[in-house]
Amino acid sequence: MSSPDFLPLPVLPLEEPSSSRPVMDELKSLEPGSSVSRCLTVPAPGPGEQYRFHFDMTRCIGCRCCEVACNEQNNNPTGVHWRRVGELEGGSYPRVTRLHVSMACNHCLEPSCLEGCPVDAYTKLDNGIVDHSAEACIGCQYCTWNCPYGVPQFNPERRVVTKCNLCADRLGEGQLPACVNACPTEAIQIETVSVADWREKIQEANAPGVPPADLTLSTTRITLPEDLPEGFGQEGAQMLRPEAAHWSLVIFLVLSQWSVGLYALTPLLPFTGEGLLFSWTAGAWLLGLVSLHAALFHLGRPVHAIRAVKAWRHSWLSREVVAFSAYAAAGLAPPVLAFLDFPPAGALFRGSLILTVLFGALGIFSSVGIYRIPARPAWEGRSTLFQFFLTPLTLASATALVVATVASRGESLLPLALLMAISCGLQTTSCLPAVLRGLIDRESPLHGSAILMTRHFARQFWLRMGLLGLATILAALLPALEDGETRSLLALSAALTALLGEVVSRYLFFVTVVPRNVAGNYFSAPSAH
Amino acid sequence: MTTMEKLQHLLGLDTKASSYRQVPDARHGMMANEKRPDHWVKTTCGYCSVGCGLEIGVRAGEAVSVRGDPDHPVNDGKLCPKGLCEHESIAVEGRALYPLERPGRRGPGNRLEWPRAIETLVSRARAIQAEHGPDSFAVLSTGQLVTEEFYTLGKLVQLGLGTRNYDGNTTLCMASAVSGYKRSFGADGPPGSYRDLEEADTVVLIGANIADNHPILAYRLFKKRILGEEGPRVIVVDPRATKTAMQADLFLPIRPRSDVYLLNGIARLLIHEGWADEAYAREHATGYDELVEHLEPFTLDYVARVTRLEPGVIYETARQIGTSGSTLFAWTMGVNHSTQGTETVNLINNLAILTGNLGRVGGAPLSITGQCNAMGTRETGFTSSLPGYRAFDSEDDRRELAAIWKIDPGSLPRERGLAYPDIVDAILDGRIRGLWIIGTNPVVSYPHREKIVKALERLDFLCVQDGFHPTPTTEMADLVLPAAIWGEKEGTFTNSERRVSRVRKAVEPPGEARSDFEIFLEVARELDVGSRLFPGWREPRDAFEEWREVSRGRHCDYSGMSHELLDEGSRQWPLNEEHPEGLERLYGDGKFQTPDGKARLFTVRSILPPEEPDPGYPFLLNTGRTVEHWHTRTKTGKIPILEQAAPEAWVEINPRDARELGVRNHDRVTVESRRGKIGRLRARVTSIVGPGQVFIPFHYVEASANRLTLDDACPISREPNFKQCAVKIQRHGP
Repeated sequence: MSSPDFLPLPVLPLEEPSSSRPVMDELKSLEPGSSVSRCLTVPAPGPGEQYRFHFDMTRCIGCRCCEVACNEQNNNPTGVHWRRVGELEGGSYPRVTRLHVSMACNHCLEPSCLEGCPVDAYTKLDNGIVDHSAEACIGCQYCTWNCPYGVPQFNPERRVVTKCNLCADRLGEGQLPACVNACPTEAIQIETVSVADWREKIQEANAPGVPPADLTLSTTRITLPEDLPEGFGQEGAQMLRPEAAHWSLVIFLVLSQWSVGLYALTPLLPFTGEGLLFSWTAGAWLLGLVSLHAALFHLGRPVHAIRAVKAWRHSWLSREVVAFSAYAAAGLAPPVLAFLDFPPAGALFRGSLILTVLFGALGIFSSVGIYRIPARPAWEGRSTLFQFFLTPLTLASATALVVATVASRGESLLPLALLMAISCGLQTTSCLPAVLRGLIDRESPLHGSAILMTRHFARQFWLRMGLLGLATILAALLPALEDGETRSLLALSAALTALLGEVVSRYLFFVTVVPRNVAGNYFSAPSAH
Repeated sequence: MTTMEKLQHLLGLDTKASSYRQVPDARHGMMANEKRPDHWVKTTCGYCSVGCGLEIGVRAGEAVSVRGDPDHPVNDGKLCPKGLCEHESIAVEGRALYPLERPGRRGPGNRLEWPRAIETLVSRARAIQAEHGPDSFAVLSTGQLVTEEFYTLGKLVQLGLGTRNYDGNTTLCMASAVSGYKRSFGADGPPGSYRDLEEADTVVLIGANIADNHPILAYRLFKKRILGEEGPRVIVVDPRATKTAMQADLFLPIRPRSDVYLLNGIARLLIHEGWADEAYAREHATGYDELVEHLEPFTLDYVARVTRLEPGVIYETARQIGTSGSTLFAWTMGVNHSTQGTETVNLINNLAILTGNLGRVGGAPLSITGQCNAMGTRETGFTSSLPGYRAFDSEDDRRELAAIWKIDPGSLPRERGLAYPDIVDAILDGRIRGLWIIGTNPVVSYPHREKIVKALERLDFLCVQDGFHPTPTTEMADLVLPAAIWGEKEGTFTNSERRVSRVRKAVEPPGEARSDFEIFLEVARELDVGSRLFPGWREPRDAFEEWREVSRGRHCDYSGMSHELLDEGSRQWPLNEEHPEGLERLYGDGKFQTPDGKARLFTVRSILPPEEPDPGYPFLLNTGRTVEHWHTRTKTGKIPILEQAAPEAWVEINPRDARELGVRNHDRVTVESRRGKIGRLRARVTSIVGPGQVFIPFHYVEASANRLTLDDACPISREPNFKQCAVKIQRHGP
């Protein structure tokens, strides 16, 4: 017989009667056949109130009925899940605590989906529901990045983003939302809440496995078990999954920034003759144009791209579109003026160039604004700003070096080579602080990205470091070389290496971003965007 | 999509708004336009035995949606995730469409006309029987047909085909409960009701992970809590920290297969602490004194040491059971899937008898069955007993049945034929040469896969009748008969609380698939027994009408039921003149189905499980289910939302063991037993399982847990020991 090995038993706390019982229990008696409410008896929100979900983590049994009922209700294809159930585990057998977290839209007080939407497809309704119009949506998916809970999801069948609207149509008819109706333990409920009160009690929306409520002021009230172990649920069960590469955006970002850099470096060109000024500025303009068209491919509904300018007051994406549209228009002037042999030092040419660069810089600045969002910690840091402004310097100086060496204008090589070496060198290391911080600090929101970068994408990561590092060295070596074919070849290699490095870098930028999200389960589906 | 449509799609001109628009439905409220039906067809869920009422939404002859039936007393409109998308199981790829003959058992096979297919089945069976004797042809059925079909099939097999070797896959899931009930109470039939889950003061769940496997019973269990009232205290006994265990007030993480000790220990405490209802036990059962004597060694200390539970927790469990006004004991496969399954059931029944928890509100020993109509085949089938819970070895029962059927009592068998595992053995040693499999997939569901595959290969003739083709089992068949499935046929299901509910046809079966009922009648005609066994039968209702009479006066009395009555709403048996509305609980009168009317208390000693971990195979493998899938995934594996939710098998490994093995979460491992191995299985490092234990869900043919399990079976019920075997684990090389 085995030795006595008494294992202490976890005795889960008995459930306390909830202090704010939902008002929807239609039937209180337990006569045979009596059932838990299936009709909405929550009064419509009064002034200063709104609807919201209540999720009781102590009741959820992880059956996933809510997920299926939601998709059935809304005809969503598999892969689009407005409600998802995640798993959390802590402690060790048999004193283990396993909890599930079922979350849909939190109908936030400050919805970041709404703020970022370039076409104002989102509305915060009077009853608090964050509503989204599929008709207005152009499928840019920016909201899917902005939401820290992964709520809005791109539906490839419709080519627009869609999201939970708390079954507003059912509510309107006095029916419960599908998930609430389906939950066999009534762990999901709907309630009304006073918005002012909730701002005070926002901590009640916090839970293990759920991103902090203060980012967007989530309204979902979450009931937790008492005495949860410290640090419970910090490690999810799900796999770390790369995000989409968004190739059209990789191309857009690299080319648009390169283009702006070219305009910006025009005054530094070592010479202007032989039609170079025209070719240079026309090339810059074409690059910009190509980049803007590449961006169109990112949209689910490119035919409605023009709508994206609508929300310039609050959306960085609208601002980006406005700025780059102005850039494309203004950018046509320099090559035209150069073609008409307007003097490069003249006010007209200078003026048009300054205007173009200004719009371009605004465009890049808007791009930075798009990515620096709390929902994606790896993008939120300053390195996005650095990277997006180092790219134009690196690639434009590299282009200038190629032109200079091919045209054998070695006399002014040094400043250009210095510029490229410095900017490319900085670019090489630009991602390192975040990666290091993520590797050192397991609790850091950057941890997941750092792991993806150095493990899953180790090859691409070292390729990036290698390419950009090599380009830096090549640039630094250039002035030391004699004028000639070798130097041109070296300059060309430096430029191509840098370009490739930038592309890999931007690819990694997208795939290794680990968004904030609600905890997943063991088989968490890849995100739909 | 045409090029034009594709272009419109890519440009974003068409967002398919009309299919997504929410539109009103008179019965179920707002719903997506794409899923709004013309009409709803009320029926009963075809997955598990909880027996939820649901409605299939039909539009233009196709099942487009499903909703729970808010008026059904079992589920109040709630459904589990499988039920919530059950309409999708009908129009999936891979349905069997035409009768197929498969020469050499290879390839897609040749289409046959139905008459030719039926003739093939009958002539092959007859030829084998002529050469090797009537019992050399066997039949394996399922728990998923309607009761009318089970009744028909039983008669057809035993009286038409004339073989005794007929059993169902129900032997793989609830045979131990059946045998246990028969031994303790003289008859099968779960004595309690689901309402006891709500009304009991204490509910003890033993080896029953209802949160994963019967979520709607979790709804019933927690219904009072939901309504803000005080619900039952919930005690969960399970070696795994299951989702259900997490909802318990008291969780007993028992050492696997030490339940015999625990149950004996609790019984001893009940008696010693004066919590037992001795008067009830003495008056209504035999064996009390023997039991008291037998229990003497099962002291709290001893039991705690063996079960590795804290003595205080065992004591508290016994106190709770002993002092509660009512206790419901519910169990599923954690108890049944064992070489000592039947006796373990008897020990649970002991506790119910000792505390008088029989026939009263909230008090019962309730076996939660597996398949939607396992109960139907238990009652009407002709496998482990004669229809209507009649005993093969009772001359009275045989005479009574023969009189109803107007046949010679001598033509009824005097003992049951071989049980499922014994049929497999008999195939392997050549006693059985031909097999007709109906609605089951043994290549995935039977333990010790290598053995069952060898057996099926060895057959001279294998006919598989199924709704799906190919399945791993139809791929081994000589003849495939395409059957209609749930949603395509009429009849009744009986659930775990003896509740009979109507099953209705919502849509036509695909291709040339026919209902099992029609196929059975055709086979009877071909056997030339149709007019004798099924005179004038045309539809399942005809079978039900005869079955009513067969069950009249029996324990499972359906005599007061009819399809018309059940159309008004489900009813529990017995339903007769005495109980015109049906009986919610059995044995309220303290009279049992034994000759002396008394229940039996059993003295049970533990036997060792067939295999225990050793240095070569150091882990104990437990197998079971997950909420997203049903059995061998022939249905749920084809439903995208369920399949994507749990797309592949995994093995749960305790973090301590994982560290020693060098295995991280999501690593690939090989799990190997003495019988086979699974490669590239995904590791799930979790404290759901204790150190030394691992768990694999059995649904996945691609990584079949039954490659590892052993088919040693309970000597009484013949239910195999799926739950424990020894395995070793290796991390995959990089």
